[in-house]
Amino acid sequence: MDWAEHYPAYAVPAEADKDEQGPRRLTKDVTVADIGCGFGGLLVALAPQLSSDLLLGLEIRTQVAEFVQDRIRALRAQNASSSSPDLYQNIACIRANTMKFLPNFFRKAQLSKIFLCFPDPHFKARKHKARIVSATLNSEYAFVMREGGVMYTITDVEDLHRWMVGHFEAHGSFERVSEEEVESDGCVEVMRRETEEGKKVERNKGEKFVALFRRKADPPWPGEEAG
Amino acid sequence: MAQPFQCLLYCPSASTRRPSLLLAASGPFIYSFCLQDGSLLSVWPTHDLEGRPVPLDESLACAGESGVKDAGRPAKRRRVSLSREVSSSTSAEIVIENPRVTESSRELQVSNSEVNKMICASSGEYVVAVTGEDKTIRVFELRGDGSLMQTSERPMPKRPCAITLTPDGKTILCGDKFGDVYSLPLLGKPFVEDPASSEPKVEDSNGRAEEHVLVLPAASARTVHTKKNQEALRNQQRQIRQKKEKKILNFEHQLLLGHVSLLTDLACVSICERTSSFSHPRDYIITSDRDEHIRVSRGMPQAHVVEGYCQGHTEFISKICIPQNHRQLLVSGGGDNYLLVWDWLRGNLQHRIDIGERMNYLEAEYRKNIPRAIGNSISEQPAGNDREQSLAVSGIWSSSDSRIIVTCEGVPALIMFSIDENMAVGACDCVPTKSNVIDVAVLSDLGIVIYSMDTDHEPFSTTKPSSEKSASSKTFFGSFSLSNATGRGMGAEGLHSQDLVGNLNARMQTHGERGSRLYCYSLENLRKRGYEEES
Repeated sequence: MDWAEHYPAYAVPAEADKDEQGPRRLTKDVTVADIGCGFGGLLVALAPQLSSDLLLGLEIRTQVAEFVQDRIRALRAQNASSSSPDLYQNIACIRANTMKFLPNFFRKAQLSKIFLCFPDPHFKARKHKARIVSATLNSEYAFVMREGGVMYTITDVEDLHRWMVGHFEAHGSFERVSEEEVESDGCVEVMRRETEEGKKVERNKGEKFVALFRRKADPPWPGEEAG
Repeated sequence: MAQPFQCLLYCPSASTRRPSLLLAASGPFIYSFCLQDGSLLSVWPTHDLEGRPVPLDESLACAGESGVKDAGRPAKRRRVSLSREVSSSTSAEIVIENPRVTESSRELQVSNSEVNKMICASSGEYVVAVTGEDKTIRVFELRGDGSLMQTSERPMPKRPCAITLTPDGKTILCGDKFGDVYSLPLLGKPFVEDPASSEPKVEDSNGRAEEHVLVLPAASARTVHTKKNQEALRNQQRQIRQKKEKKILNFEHQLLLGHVSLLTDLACVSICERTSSFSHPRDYIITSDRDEHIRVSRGMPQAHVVEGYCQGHTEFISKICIPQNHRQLLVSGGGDNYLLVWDWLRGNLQHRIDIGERMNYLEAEYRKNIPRAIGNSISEQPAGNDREQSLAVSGIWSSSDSRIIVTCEGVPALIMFSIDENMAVGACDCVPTKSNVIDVAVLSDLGIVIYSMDTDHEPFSTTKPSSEKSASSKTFFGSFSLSNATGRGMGAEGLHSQDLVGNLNARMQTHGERGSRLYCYSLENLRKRGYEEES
């Protein structure tokens, strides 16, 4: 994975990079992932807010991912001569099947925030296996997330909301974040307002259901409880 | 032609009352051979579907032609075969259907499904077998006379691809085609009989109508916007009333973990880590999938915690193996033409063992030596070069003398290498065999390896039928001694491995011509085609 291609402003300068084999490394790692980033509305909106983090959007549709890449490139070019040339240097998008290859992109405990915004509800019961939240997939999210990291979910489908809450609460590695904390989290407002789906739901006067989950520490091994 | 044995299992003698056994599965039958003299002790199932006992000696002969001779196989199973194998099948067996007998067969514990996997549990007291088409896990008790008595059958929701036991031997772990791993107690009752759990079942059949009205569609007019979607939603609301009763697993089981991919192999290992300040051993579950992942999770009850991944394969992984003497290592193989040896706890790659080149060499040697009459027809096929793209590891075993034995799909050879105390990998050795190797049983305490061979196909081919037409000239089993890989081995019980195998083969050969059934090689189907794009 050549991260430098996606975040040129954060690439380790070629002369300083001792590891000449393989792709150039970054000065810091991606810590925020938007899974199913769609047309990139959330990434673009979060870029100034989380300016010290690197954000990565993952999108499975090749053309949509290419669109977002073009969009980011255009935004960077526009801002290059402005007062804040670093704006949008911290966001990127790749085409990826996150459900299958999440651990190929991130190390253990690399991420502090994961966004799941308006995921495909897969209404039919036989398609529930394909939902982006499941008991078994949550283990993979937990793997790439650091302790205390937060999983953000939003959907306009109440049934899917209950499904996601049910699965994350049942999973041993996550706990639900309290209502007050949700409201005080700056990212939540952006997530409600700035995603393309969020705007569409707004137009249709639909409801939006938000739930946040915190990554708990791994339990001690059986028989190795401290004390 | 005779049907080869697709699955072997060595059951060392657990006590003095039972001799060491070799279980060999051919089609839906499991044969139990005594390892002292190679005699056939029993066959499972003991009765055919009409309740007639299957005579021991004839059972070998009729295994392959059962469909032709007695049409007493359930028609339902057959239809499963028909839809899946229709392109490759030339055998008359699966076309014949006999709906008359299906009702009578229900109460009998007989299956027409091929036995795919067998493992030995509780130091040889129990055998766990998976039959493929009916997706059922069967537990057998091994009795003193070498016969198998089925104690439970548990149909899984999806086709099991791998089974193993937890280190304490009390729980079966089963990985399925949907990538999920379930745990089931070894001796769990197939049907829970207490009234509390059987009641909801009754409700299900009687009160179905009410129950499904309660299930509201997940979507509403507010969440779907386009004309088409709204139409689909109306359809869905209509359909929900006619929904069929969902199949419920009526035995104790638990979903442990899952891959979003076909699960191919599963290992469960207990290890005492030196870095740990506790002496308590830690359990791990290692799973491999079609998407080149090897995942290391904690054992039960913390299987939701993923500890790491071993990344390095570029193709599907079909087999993983924890060497008996090096439990901190893992050998993995699949669609790549190399094997990888891992320090799986740290996810570090230790060794890479190329086997593709060796296979090409072996095949070239084989083509050179075959008689011209057969050689002509073979030489018309594209020669050896495509072997490189289509090597698929079909099995990895380890022996107590730190040797790793590897087989590949459609390859008449065993590949061997050893791992020494410093975890260095020795040179790769190749033992050519007469026909393609299907399964291997490592008889570690006897120092013998027995393998079953595909008698239906030419060596190096998974499709070309064998030119040997008569059963008497075929060899179903082969063996070699671990002490000196080629010579006649003397087992601990005063057993000559080659005599034993000779006995087994003679038994097979005297039964003459049998019905034909093509053994399906399925691993190549795991390889991704162009349209299944990887990331």
